[in-house]
This record gives sequence, structure tokens and C-alpha cells, in this order.
Amino acid sequence: MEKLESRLKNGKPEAFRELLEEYSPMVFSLIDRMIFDRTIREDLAQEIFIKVIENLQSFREDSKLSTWIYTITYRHLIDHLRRTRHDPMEKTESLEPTMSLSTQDHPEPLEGQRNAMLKILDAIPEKYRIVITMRYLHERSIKDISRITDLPEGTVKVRIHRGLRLLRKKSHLMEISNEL
Amino acid sequence: MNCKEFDNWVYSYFEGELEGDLKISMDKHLADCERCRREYAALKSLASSLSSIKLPEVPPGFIQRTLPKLHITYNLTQQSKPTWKMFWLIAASILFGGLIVGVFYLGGFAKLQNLGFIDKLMKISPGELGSWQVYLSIFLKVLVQNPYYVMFIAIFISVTSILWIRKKLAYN
Ligand SMILES: [Zn+2]
Repeated sequence: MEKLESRLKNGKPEAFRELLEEYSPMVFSLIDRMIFDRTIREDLAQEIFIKVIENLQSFREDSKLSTWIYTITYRHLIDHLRRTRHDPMEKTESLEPTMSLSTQDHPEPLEGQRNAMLKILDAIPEKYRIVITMRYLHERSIKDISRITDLPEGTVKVRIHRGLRLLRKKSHLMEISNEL
Repeated sequence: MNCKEFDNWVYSYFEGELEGDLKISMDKHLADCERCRREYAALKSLASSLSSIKLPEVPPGFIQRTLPKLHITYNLTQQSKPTWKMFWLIAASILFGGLIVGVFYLGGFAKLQNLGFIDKLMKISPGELGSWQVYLSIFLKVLVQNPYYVMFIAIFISVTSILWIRKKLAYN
């Protein structure tokens, strides 16, 4: 079987479906952790896949397709954040969500454990949340994360470590508040 | 090693990046210190519960809604980007047109005639040779007797190629 990237470049119809089936969960997952406005998640996902198709010819065969798509996804979301933050009309949307906001916003009810963990994760600052999502939810290597985000590996590690510490503190608080 | 040092290195230790003496002192501190053992276990369990979070469900119908957009995008971008193959094809056809103009228009044709190649072919009567040679001889006869046709064809090829390239490049 020919590789997905070459079938995409040749415009094989079944390759587009395969691309969507394989990468949509990851794309939606990163959108959910970076953009809290749930009304635009599907639009963002479509924009990302359109970008992938638009840039197919610039994909080099010696790099990994999954890393390349991941990079396009991350950069598109960062651009979106920059755009909306500079737009005063959207200022009402808070940058760091409160816990109650993120629970209401999840469209479908989630199983308890995952829901609790995601609530805590969504409550830590973005710069930690993003690298932790990449490292643990998406199992990217530190090297990959450094390439995707354009941050030095050392910075990535420090952020993951600080993020984990913050998560630990928050999960302690949650346990205490649950007991009360 | 003290607890503060342990904390500084604990993440690299957890990622399995430490080697040699540093790793040995970390191992040792972990074995000796209750507090850091607890911290390390907490780090591990936090990482594993994060890793066990499943990716979200894709909204129903998302793939159906997105597929046509991807096909449209693909068709638009493919049409507007000439590949290198196409570029060389066009360059070759311009060169070919130029060569023909050169040969027939600038006197090169006379040289070809001097070589006797064309005369020889033109003396061949149909039926004497295989069909492609017959067609070639008829084609050459027409060209030799009507050099303006040649010029017209060559210029037509060159001009349409140039216009085509310009149209393709205009999209980018
Ligand atoms: Zn200690």
C-alpha cells in the first residue's frame, strides 16, 4: 500500500477520507485544549484540514506526516488565539477559563475520571497546558514538541515539569473541595 | 544529594534522560527519602492518568461535511501550481519551436538539404517503405514546399506556451 502522503499528493479520493478519519480525533483534542469557545471547534478543524491540503506540495517526504499535520494544527490555533486576543470584540472570552465555565462547555457528558482531569488541565495557564497536552494526551516526544512549538527542548521540559507541579497542586485542592 | 537538587532533576529523571553518577545519586536519594519518594510517585501517577485520557469523539457527520471541501481545495491548488515536470515540458516546447524557426527561417534548412537527407526521402515512392517513412516523406515535402507553415506552427506553439505559463504563474 502506497503511503498516505503520496496518495494525498496524487489526489486519490479514498486518501482524503483516511486523512480525516486518522487525524480528526487529534485535531479536535488539541482544539479543545487550546480554544474554549466550543461553537467554533468544527470550523477550526475544517480550516486546519483545508490548510493541510493547500500545503501538500510543500510536505517533504523525509519528514513524518503526523508531525507535519500536528505542526499545522498547532500554528493555526496559535494564529487564531493571537487574532482573537487582538480583537476587542472578543475580549469577553476569558483567556484562562474558570473551572465552571469549562465544565458547562463540554458538549457531551464525559466519564468522571477524564472529566475531572481535563477540568484541572484546562485550569492551568496555556503555556503549560499546551505542552502537557502534547506530551501526555498525544504522546509526542520532547524533541517533536520542540519542533512543533519552535521552543528549545529545555524550555519544553521546564514547562512540562512546572505544569505537572501545578496540576498536582490543583488536584490536591480538588480532592479537598470534594471532601467538604 | 538533597531534596532541592532532587526536585531540580526529577523531571529529567522521570523521562529517563539521566545517566552516570547523577542517575545513581537520584536512585539513592529516592531510596532514602520518604518525602521525595512520595513526590516522585505522584508525578508518575499524574502522568499516567493524563496519558489515559481518551481523545474526543469527532462530531457526527464531520467527515461527510469536510470531504467535499477538501476535494475543492485540492482541485484549486493543483490547478494553480505548475509542477516542475510541466515547467520543463513547456520550456522544451519553446526550445523546439525556436529550433524549427532557426532551421527553416535562418538558412539552416539549406544545410539540411545539402546533407542530401531530405532529397533522398523525397525520392522515395509510396509503397517502397514502411508506412511511417511514407508519412514522414509526405510531411517533409509539405514543409519544404511551404516554409511559412513551419514558421506559423512554431510561433503558435511558442506563443501559446508563454501565455499558458503566464496564466499559471498568475495564480501564485
Ligand atoms: Zn528528598
